Amino acid sequence: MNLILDPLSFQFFQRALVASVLAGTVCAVVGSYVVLKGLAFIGDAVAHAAFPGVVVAYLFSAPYAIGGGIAAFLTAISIGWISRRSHLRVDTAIGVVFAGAFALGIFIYSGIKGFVGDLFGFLVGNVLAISTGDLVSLIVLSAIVLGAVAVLWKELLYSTFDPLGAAASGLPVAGLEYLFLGLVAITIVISLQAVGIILVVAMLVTPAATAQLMTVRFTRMIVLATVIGCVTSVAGLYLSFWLDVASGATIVLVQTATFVAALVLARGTAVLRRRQAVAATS
Amino acid sequence: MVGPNGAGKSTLLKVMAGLLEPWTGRVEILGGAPRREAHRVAYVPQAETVDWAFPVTVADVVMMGRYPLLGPLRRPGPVDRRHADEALEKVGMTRHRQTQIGQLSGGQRRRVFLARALAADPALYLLDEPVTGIDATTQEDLMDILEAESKRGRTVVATTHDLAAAAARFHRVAAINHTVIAYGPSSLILDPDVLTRTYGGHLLVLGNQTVVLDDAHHHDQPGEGEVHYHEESQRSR
Repeated sequence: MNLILDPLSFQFFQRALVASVLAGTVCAVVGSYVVLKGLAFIGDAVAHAAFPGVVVAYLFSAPYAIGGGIAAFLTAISIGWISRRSHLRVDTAIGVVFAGAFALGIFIYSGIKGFVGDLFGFLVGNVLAISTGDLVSLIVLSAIVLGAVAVLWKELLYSTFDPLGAAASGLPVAGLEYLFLGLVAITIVISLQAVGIILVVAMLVTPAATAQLMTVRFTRMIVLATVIGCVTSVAGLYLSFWLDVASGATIVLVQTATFVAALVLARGTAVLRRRQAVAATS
Repeated sequence: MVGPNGAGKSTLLKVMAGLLEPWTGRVEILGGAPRREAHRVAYVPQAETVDWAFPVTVADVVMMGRYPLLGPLRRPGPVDRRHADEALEKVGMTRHRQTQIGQLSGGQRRRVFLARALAADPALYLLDEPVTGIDATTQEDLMDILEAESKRGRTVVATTHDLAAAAARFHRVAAINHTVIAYGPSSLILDPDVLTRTYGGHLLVLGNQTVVLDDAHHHDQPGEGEVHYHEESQRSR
């Protein structure tokens, strides 16, 4: 029992817990659309591209969320722009843009004289170091993203499932696409401190992918993904505290383990059903 | 709209739906620019354009037809559910309402997409190959539904490769091959002259029977029966 309650007596752990649950929730909701749109690679790219924004914000002592958010969104937009304006495939455009942006971040970062320990935290995540001020901006950003999805869930669903049909029936599909990329950018900023740039794609994709293995209804998929995202974030945070290891990596590992378990279970039930069907016919 | 593959039928349909901008000229749909009355237009793309593993059920897809009419924030209400239920009933898919769309046969998938269009109760249907590659029963059923919509005063525009169905089921036919070859009453399409000008060398006239050799597959494999036959008949002419 003390294993559960003792860490809660530390304020930094309480803050970390709230931040992890927020990141887990928002990532799961937005991630469900990311997975269905086949945008996992863009999520990874946008996360890496946030780094130069974070570094520049650090240099000017501006809030990292603003710098990271702007850099992430600009990257998402420019990927779309390059792939439309040239004959390059989208994944090629992503590869060029995100590596370039990440390199720019490392370039500026390596030139900073003095202590830059805070910045390293953004690469691998350091949720235990989150400040009350950061937490407040996380809550505001999470409310914005969840609010936008709550208002536009059905428009986003239709344009994800059948962009042509949705556009023809009058939905502003291109506008929704840009809005969605903006939401992905904010989501990534929310998760940066929890799991860091390098691992954020797992937060975005893994709970949603796990949920997709378990249901054929979209609403259930979002709910399941959210539950998985929250539970794995809390479990990962506790586990990292008990074992005294990196929190972001532990959260991602717990999510990966959940995914593998769901995959094995889904295959198991499929095999079982097939055997039952065979048994029934013979 | 009839015409060989690559004639521009799908492109014309997309321009009418406002999905593509015309390079030159002007398009007017329901008395305005294509996208202006978009919620009164139901466009049904060719069947292969969506991800069939997508986690939505038959009922979900049909309800999507109502989304553009609702606008943001509003959830589907009793009126929307009634329209969706009626549409499902018309296409005979009520029994499968809870089925994930990937579990359906090809014909059933077409039925569901037509139901989505019906649920929106549009003034204009734009259908890209609605009955290509499906079983005869489904073809007849879908054509019956479209005919009923036409009788209710709705306009139905469809592309098709089935010339017999086009002549029997539609009032007017446009024969297209990069440009409008002919436009008029649907009996027009059985006119050998119109057919020759539309389908060019891929047309075979055997006595009073007309065979259209219009399939990319034939061009890829010139050794196959029909094309071989086609060449022989040309030589003997």
